[in-house]
Amino acid sequence: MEGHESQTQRPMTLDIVGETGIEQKEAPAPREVMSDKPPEALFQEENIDLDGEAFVTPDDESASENMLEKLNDQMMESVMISDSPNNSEDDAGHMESLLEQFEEGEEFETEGLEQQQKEGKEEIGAVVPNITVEPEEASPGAVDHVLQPKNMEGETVGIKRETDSVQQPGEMSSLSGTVSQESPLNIHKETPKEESIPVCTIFSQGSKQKPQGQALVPDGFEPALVKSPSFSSSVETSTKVHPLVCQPSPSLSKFFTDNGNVNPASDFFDSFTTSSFISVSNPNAESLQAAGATERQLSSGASSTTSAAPQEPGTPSFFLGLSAPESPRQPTPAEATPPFAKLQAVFSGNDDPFATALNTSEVDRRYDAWLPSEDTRKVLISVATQQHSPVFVERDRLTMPGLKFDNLQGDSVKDLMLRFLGEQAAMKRQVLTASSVEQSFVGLKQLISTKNWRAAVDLTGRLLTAHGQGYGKSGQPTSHSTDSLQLWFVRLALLTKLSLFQNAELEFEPFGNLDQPDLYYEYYPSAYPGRRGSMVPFSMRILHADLPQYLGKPQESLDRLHSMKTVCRQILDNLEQGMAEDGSMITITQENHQASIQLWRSRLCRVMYSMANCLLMMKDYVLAVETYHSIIQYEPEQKPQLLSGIGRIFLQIGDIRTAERYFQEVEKVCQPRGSSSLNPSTCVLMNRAFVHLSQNNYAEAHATFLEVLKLDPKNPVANNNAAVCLLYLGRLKESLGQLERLVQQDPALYLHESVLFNLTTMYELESSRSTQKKQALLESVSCREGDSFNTQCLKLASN
Amino acid sequence: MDVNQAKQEHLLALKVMRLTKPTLFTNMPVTCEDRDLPGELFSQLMKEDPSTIKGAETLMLGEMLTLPQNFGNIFLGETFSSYISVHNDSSQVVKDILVKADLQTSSQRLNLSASNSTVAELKPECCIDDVIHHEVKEIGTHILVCAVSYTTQAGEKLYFRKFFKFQVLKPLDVKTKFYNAETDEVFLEAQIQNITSSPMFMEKVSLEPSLMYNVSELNTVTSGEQGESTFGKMSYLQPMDTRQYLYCLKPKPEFAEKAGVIKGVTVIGKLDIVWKTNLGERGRLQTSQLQRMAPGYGDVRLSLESIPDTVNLEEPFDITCKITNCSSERTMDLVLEMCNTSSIHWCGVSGRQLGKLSPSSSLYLPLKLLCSVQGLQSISGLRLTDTFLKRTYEYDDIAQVCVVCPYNSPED
Repeated sequence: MEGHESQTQRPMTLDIVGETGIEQKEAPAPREVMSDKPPEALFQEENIDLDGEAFVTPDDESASENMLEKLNDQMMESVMISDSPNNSEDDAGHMESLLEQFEEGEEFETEGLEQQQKEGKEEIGAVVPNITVEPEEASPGAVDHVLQPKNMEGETVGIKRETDSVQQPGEMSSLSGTVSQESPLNIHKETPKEESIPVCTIFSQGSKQKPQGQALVPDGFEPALVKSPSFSSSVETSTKVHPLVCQPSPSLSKFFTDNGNVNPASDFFDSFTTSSFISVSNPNAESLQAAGATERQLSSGASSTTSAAPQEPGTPSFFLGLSAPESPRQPTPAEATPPFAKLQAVFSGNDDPFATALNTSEVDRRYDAWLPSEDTRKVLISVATQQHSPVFVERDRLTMPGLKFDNLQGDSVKDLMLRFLGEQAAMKRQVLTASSVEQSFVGLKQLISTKNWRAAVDLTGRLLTAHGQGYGKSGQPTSHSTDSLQLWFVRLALLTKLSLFQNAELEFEPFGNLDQPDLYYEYYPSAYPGRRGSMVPFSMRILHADLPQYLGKPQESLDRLHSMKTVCRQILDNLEQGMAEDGSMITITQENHQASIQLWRSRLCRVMYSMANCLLMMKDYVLAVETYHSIIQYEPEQKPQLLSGIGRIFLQIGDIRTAERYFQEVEKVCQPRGSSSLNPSTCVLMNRAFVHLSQNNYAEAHATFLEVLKLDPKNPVANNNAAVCLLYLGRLKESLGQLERLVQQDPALYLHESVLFNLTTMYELESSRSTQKKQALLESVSCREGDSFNTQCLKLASN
Repeated sequence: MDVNQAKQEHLLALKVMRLTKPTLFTNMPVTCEDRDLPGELFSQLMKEDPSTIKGAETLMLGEMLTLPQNFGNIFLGETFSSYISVHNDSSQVVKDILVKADLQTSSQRLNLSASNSTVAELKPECCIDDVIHHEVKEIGTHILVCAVSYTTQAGEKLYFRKFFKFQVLKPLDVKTKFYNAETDEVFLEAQIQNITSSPMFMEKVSLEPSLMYNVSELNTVTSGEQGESTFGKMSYLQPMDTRQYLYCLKPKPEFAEKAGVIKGVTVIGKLDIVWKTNLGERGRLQTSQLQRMAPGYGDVRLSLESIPDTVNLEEPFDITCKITNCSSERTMDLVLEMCNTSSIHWCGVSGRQLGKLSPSSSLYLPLKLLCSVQGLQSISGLRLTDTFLKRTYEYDDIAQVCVVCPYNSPED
């Protein structure tokens, strides 16, 4: 190819230049200018061939002769994008002086380094959760041909961390946070303490070996300067572009000795005020995960003495665990705990199974319906036909879940308070723990609604232990009940909400694809006489399908969602043909039939939402938009929200025109609802503001967000967004003031991680005393928020 | 994030933050049904969460804006925006503050400060804010140099600088390829690859032709009233995706006539590319002038002016050839020979004189021929001999024609 090419065409080297083109201004004399630098000096990028594929053998004379022959271009020509070839002499002078300064800066480096290391060791637990890995975006070779590696010495610590963590994502994930006490029930038995901090070890090693790298980690900031945690390819590039070898300059060392301690090394390459913030948008982020304190371990003796629920053969009861001294023992479930009693319906009606079946069968059938796979169906049929002799089911077709870790709990807010506000202040923090509530569903709900999800997870653990599915029970035969599966659902849902995806996956594993025979009611003809369908709640199936995408396996999520969609469709088909959900011929009243169709429509919708969300996460915008659009037919009342959402997707891509088209459609939809066309709804205004924002018109965007606030003064989104616009308008103090006021006046609405993240970012930008201000925020968080609060948005750990 | 103690000796603190576009907060919907254990709790929590879309809480993409979370990447052609804040950390009033922001690239130093005037005084807890913008035009290392000078109450003049280094990367890989049509038209295929790590919306990819050419873009399919893009409904490029743009360039008549033929290296024009990413972050690049080596036609060029697409078997048809003297000063005396091939049969006299042809002029020559074989046939067998130099030019495969049998196709 290439040989042929050189004969037939003249290779071209084209420069891409900025639009206004600097070339006409200055005489191009770049090489001469840089030629007096030492061979290893800076900015060798000048010479880097930016395009490996380019046919860089320009030989004009011979080529033009060959041109006389027939031209038959079959090769693509590479257009090179290169530096603008226009240096002027005095500019180069500046550059050189700069280089010298860098050298100076590096001499100071080592001082700060020691501190850094000490700090690093102290704060190991805190540093760890900041590391994000996004394996799906890792494309190491992506930019290889752009810039050639010149000098690897300048590699930053941050990059080191990054690449290493990419290599060991598994280990990272199992890092336990602050105190990892070696209890037998410790979460991560397999990763003992030394191992549990490999990243940090790398961190300090890295700083020892590569002191130069410290230049990029000034002020103890996380090394966000040249890396972009979300794009490892960029990291790849920056590892290769640090030819920072400089010469000393006496004149400048004077400058530094003058202000020696005033301008420490970290002044060089100061970090931009940024920080990594892990939220749901970074699904691979690992939250702080504190190993539990031993005193909170469940005392199994206590639970066994107090358990007093009516026993059902084959379904051990577990609702009553520890009853705290202040909480009275529940005499009868029906009186003390109504929701509990409701869940007990199956049991309390046990004397009269027939009546029970009649009462609940309609609703049960509707909600529990599911279509098992062919194999599972066969097993279930054989169970039904051989009432008295137990059917042998292979072990690997049974579901044998067990807790994979115990005592997750911890309270990162309190940990931070201990570190920053002292023990005294930390003592004041009062949150509910698993032990301080009733050991029942009531207590569980209480923990959930007060946002103490970590404690709630602990409580589910206790209740499941009482059910015989506790720690280490995985792989041991057990039996399931409606309640045990509900507990599992709650536990796994909370783990997911806490972004503890790995843990959730681990505990989900024994459930397989949620299609094992013992997860259907038919498997337990004596415990659930006459009841049919799936014991696994539908929401748990959704959760099961959603989970892999947060672990970087979106394809798996899509597969699961698609098979769920198929089942939903099939059930809807059955219903539309007048049959029962599972396709059996039962006469159903019109009313129940309608209710069933409605339920399954909404479930289908829920599946579609998950699919669309997953596609959006995969950045498959075409399919995501299509899927969101198709939801409109099922949920017409969500049309404005959906269309606006699609519009925002287009804004995210950068396609403002298409976004505007969708927003116009929203305006059309909203118009008949609004009282008059002069008063556009908040939804419409919000969209307009986003369009202004995308057109770089922050002033207009700000004004439009303010208009929203005229209609809806309490709108947290508009308030926050208006403040963000102010910052882009260069009005930091105003923006900060506004956010601060909001958080103070209405903490319920504004103690949200996105708002707090914005606020702390602005604190960092505003003054050197941001820590104090952040600590003040921590205090207000501690008064209101439960243990599930994501403290990373406070950005205290990165100090 | 806070500064080391050493720095506290300065009364002022300088903070810099790159202002990329804010991002929309995404939430993670975890739902349950009323009959599940948590009952209404989960949906209640989601409704109370300010970042969810009210009425459609399961929609992941919210409306809450969050500030940039990291420096991110910056690419050639994008605008580098930065917030520069100088804050008075001390308890005294500071006077005569001058904040200067320069950008040092590998070739030049640019002043980015909006104003270079001195601020008379800055009270404690107050700041001087500046938002700078710069469209980056160079690849490689850039250093933002921020210098602050001020006078304390004691009259001491103080000064400090901070350096912020970042790399500008190449966003696109552009490859071009020219195709020469039989006529004077030139087709340009441009392959544009997104080598960033985020999707890019290609707002505009156009060819700005040089003086000599008119350009028509061949990237839309006209169906009905609206042209539909050949790239489908969504005009965005995923990371590492490549897209082909096609342009047709026609020499303007005045140039085509004047020059006779376009010879040697000609400047075709340049590609102008505008893209957008997250929330309208804009980038723009132009390639340098694309140059094309015009195909060499030798001294005498024979091109076809007209030829039917389809002809009937064994029926004579007409073609028109254009013969151009491409030599610079020699007048030619040409003789035309027509050689039959297995399928092409020329009608008329072979070996006839075409008369004198002066430099850079052309003549039109109608010819008649017939085909004896069905199918796609190549027209070959024309020979021109320059009687003065005794040099013969052979013209084979100059065009193709589809030969059909009229009797076998009842549809016609």
